[in-house]
Amino acid sequence: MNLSYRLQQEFEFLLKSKAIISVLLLLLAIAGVSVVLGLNYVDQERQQIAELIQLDAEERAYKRTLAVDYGGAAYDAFHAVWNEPSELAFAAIGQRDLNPTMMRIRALALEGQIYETDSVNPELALTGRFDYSFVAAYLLPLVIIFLFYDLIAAEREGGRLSLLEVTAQNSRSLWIPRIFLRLLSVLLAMLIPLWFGIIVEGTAIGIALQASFAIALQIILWSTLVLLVATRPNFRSETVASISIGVWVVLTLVVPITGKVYIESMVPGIKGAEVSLVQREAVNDAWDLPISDTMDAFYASHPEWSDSPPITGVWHWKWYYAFQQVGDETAAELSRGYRETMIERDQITANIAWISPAVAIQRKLEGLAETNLDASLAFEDQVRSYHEQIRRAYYPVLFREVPFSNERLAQIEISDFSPTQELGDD
Amino acid sequence: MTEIALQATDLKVIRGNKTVLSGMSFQVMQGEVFALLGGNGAGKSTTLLAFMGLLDVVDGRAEVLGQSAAEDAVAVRSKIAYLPESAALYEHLNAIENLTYFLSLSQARPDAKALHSALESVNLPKDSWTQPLKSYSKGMRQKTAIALALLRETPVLLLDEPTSGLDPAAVEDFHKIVEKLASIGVTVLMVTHDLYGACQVAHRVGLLRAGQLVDVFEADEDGAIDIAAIRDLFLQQQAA
Repeated sequence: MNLSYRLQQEFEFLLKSKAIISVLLLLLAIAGVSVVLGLNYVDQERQQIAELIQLDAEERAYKRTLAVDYGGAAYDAFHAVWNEPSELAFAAIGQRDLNPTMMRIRALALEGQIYETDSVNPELALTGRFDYSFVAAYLLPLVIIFLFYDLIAAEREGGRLSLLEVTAQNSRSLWIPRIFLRLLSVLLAMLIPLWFGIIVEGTAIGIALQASFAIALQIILWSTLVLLVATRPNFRSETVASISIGVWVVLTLVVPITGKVYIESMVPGIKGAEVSLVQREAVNDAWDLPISDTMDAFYASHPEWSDSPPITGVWHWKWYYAFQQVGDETAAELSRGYRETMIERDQITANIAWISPAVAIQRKLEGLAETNLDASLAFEDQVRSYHEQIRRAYYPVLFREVPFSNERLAQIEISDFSPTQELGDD
Repeated sequence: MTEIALQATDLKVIRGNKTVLSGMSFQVMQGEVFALLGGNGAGKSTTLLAFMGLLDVVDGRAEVLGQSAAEDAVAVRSKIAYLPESAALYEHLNAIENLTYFLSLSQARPDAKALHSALESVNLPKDSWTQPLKSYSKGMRQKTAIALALLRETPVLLLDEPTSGLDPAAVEDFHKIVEKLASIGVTVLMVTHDLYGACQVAHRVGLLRAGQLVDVFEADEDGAIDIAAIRDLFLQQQAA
């Protein structure tokens, strides 16, 4: 068989199918828009991060000039922390707009600072974001259904099937080129925008290939599902369309939503805001407690400062920082529980991905883009370590009650946060 | 020596719960035009499908030039050109594009001259060749499909209601084409409702009823078939 001529004819046939070309162009346009929006999003984030770093350093330097004691200096010294978007983040924003990616932290209690955004993003958690992974998960299967639902039925209903099969002699030489070109065209409609983004971002080739492979798998999976129905003898096109849409509804909507309901019932959620609330209440309550209660609790967990001189007045910065620390420790168990809850929920979601291609492709792309839960938790770990550095920088002058001087303050050096830098453990 | 081109032997076909062909047997010799006449549901189109290997035969054999359609459908189809009843080609393509596309399926790559020649031979108006088929009359579509069958240049031609929708002049042209093909050795099996047309072009006419061949009428020395006898038998069968 002269395959190249056959493919050329099938390609010309495809180009003359206005409905198919229109849908493919629409997919190309939607995927393109999603990539451009994603590129703008990460570009904006990088600009914000650059701005944050610059303004943060300027403000910190200025505040130091106003400092009259170490406690006040620590109180006024904010430090920028950020989670740089990866080179594939444009394709899968993932958890980046749900969990914090840039913050300004200081030596006060950390939990409230970390989970501050948890109470302001519920609308994003509800709707999700329109990005390339959304197109791949939800819209791509619909396009595939459109391309294949009447592949055979339209020929049968148009009275051409017998003529086509007899003329082609072999069914394979009829259907394989037609299916192949439709698969190729939908793959190109998805990959051209993706690779535009990949080139703009300079994404590592290994990551780019894995993302492309995931898209190809999604296309093959959905094509197989639709073709399994479309090739049933005597199924009418509307029957194939109805069944295929039904499968789409189940796999992309019913399974994930049922899974979410199941997760919420099986793994009752602790909310980040609750952690924040517990920590803040502990801090606020401390104002009404005897100073010794707070200091005893603090020294119990930080015996290295237990030889600090006793507090004689009604106020001391070291007491203030001690109850901030105790506030974090009060909320620590809840915070760990919150983290474990998120991990447990994520693991269940991973299992749901086995039966929902929509969940699977989104998780895969978010994993490659480092915008998934693992990446969020890794960033949180880095923030915690960095916060510990900040505390440890100020505690010696606070708990040793070193007399204040600008020279001594200048010696308190805290390196800038670096998301790629390995930070020491607590 | 003339060989058997098409042979049905005790053909039995069941579609759904209905026995469509029940033990039908006949032969068509090379270069012969054989017409199968019958009412709706007699099994005419099913017989053609059996020869093309497009349905499961419960019993018996359908052979094309000695090869079983059920066992070697690909080889059999390479020897067959088929003209379906509705002549359904692609509406959004023009005649040239339809012919080029369909012929590419059979690995044929005709040049423009061959395409033009085929379209001229079926008298399709030249100014319509580049118009999409959706602007064609039924007769023009039928002519395009006939051109496709001619371009296949196969030794066997299966025709399903070939003159349906054609005007009298086009029917006359079509009969001439069939006669010309038969004269160069092409075997033609046509199924039709058109008693007069069948008798005009066929060497033999078989009468089908309820999946069985009731009788076969042969042309006399002058090439004429006794239309009245066929009509009477047909009406008698219908009444029974």
